[in-house]
Amino acid sequence: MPPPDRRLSVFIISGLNEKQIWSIGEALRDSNLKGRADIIADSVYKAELDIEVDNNPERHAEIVNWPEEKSAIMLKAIELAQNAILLLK
Amino acid sequence: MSTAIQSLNYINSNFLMSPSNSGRGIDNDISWNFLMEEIQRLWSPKSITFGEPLYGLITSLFGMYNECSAPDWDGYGANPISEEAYNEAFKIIDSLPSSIEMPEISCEPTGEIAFEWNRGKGHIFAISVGGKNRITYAGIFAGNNKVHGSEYFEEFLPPVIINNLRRLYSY
Repeated sequence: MPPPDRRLSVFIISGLNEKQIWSIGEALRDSNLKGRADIIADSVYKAELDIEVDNNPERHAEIVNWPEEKSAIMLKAIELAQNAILLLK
Repeated sequence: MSTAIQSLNYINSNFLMSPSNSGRGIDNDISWNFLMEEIQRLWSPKSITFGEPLYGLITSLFGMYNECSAPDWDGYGANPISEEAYNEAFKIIDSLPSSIEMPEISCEPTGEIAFEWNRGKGHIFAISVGGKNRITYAGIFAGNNKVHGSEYFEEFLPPVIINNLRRLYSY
């Protein structure tokens, strides 16, 4: 689910190896990192959401264009979740 | 036959009463059919015990409340889980039909508590409560059919929630 501002923080991991991917999360979360969910950008667009890349920090982006209605947000989140791969640390 | 059903208030509300909040008892086909199925299931020779998963769900709810009741619990500005949301989630657990599998439970950044029933890709139903007497729901079913909406909730699960759960478990 996106946060209250409806901008879901993500990182672009194309071209990175496993160690590099985990290091991004570790830099942000330290010992609190529980896992990650990988999703291809195409699944985001198919859910009629957009990706805004800001590179702040490097490779950072946000999934945006979430609907306003809470239940519609929930449905989009389900659509993303079922196309994502969950990896626990 | 041995059958054990744990219910927090000694009454599984949805099992005994109409979920319509109307106070008129069992007054529609959905509730009546559901009740008959429950009775048939309970009198079947198959032994069942629901106490353990229910206990696990309540333990998860309590642990989550402790973990997510402070502002910014996720580090991304999440709203805290309120006591009202916790109490409402407790009521949801108490009113779940005993024939339905226990859901997964999670905190949402909006300060709500979510329950999810996941039967694999294309078969997911989720609800959430935030202590405001409303259940928000969304689901994807066979054939990529999608539903979402919200319903008033006070004591009993609204029929639309029960219907969608039955739909999820009907395939």
